[in-house]
Amino acid sequence: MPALAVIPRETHPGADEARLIADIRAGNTEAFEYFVRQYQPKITRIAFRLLKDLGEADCAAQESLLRAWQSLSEFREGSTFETWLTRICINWCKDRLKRRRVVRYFHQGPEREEDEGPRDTAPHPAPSPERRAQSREIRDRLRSAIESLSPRQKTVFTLKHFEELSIPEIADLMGLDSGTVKSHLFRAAQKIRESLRELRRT
Amino acid sequence: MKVENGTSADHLTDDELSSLALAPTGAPEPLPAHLSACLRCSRLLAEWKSALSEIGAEDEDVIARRPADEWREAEDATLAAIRRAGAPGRGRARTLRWAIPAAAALFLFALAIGERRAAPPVAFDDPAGLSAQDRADDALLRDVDRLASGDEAGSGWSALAPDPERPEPAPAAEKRS
Repeated sequence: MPALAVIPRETHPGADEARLIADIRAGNTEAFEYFVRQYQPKITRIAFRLLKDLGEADCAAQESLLRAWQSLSEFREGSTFETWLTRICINWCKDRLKRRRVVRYFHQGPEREEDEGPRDTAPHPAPSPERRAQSREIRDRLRSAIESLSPRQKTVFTLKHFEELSIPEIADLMGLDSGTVKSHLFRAAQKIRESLRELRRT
Repeated sequence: MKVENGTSADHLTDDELSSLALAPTGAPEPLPAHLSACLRCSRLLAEWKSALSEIGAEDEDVIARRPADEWREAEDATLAAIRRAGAPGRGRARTLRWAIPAAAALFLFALAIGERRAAPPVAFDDPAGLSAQDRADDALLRDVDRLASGDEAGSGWSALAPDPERPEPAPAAEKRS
């Protein structure tokens, strides 16, 4: 077995990924470690935003990297590895969301203590209990409404509002055109408003 | 100048507030004139926008709080899975490598089961189903059993070592014990 190139555990900004991929295809399989160390945290974060479960997000990230590894011959030179990998992860998460039998309406985020002060340190009076209760109610209703979106709408909404990607970036990741992405975003916003009205009635 | 309480007819509804907070394309939309005059509604709009960014920040917090060794452990598990998978792009060849022999073994097993079922069952209590040799063996075993149990009144020792000059007696029709 030929000597393998040693890829340091720390990531190298600007590493020549195209060269690494060529090396891997030529037989230097250990070079794939770079991609795992570099991108697993990022795709875990995206998966967590969609799945709201860290264990499932880890599974999504691992499966995505494994698929990327097994399908490396299908990777096209014109695209970046990060975009390709993120696309694999998003598709995995969408499939997962579809398969879920129980739709989570509430994501149990970290509870805030009543005596917790305001987040920022600007010198202004702390919000009153009524204001804090109102803020919490808005947040809970909005969270529930977002969870009620379809997998595709939720993905587009999450990438736009939480990952702060542009419309063309989202289109590239999801294999859609920009007009379709805007359409999904519009429908997601409509669906959220409808859910908010429903929640107000209950 | 903004006032705290305008008329309720002027205030923005939740629908209007959420539409402004969740602008579909993410681009800022022109704000209604009412907001420049109403402290209540402008505060509520800020709450909506703040709620959206807080929901995003909650996820970020979970990820940010994760210890470095947990990240390393997850990455190591991925690398281990990749090493088990073998060389890239050969997943299908590997699958075929064990799948074909397994399929062949199953096929042969199915054939063997089929042949066994096709063969007629041997009727052990029907002497007509046995060959002449089988019947002779059975008779010998019965004699041995009889002698071992002390019964010499049956066919006698002569049955075990028949006189070659004498014709063999016909086997006695007996019930199998």
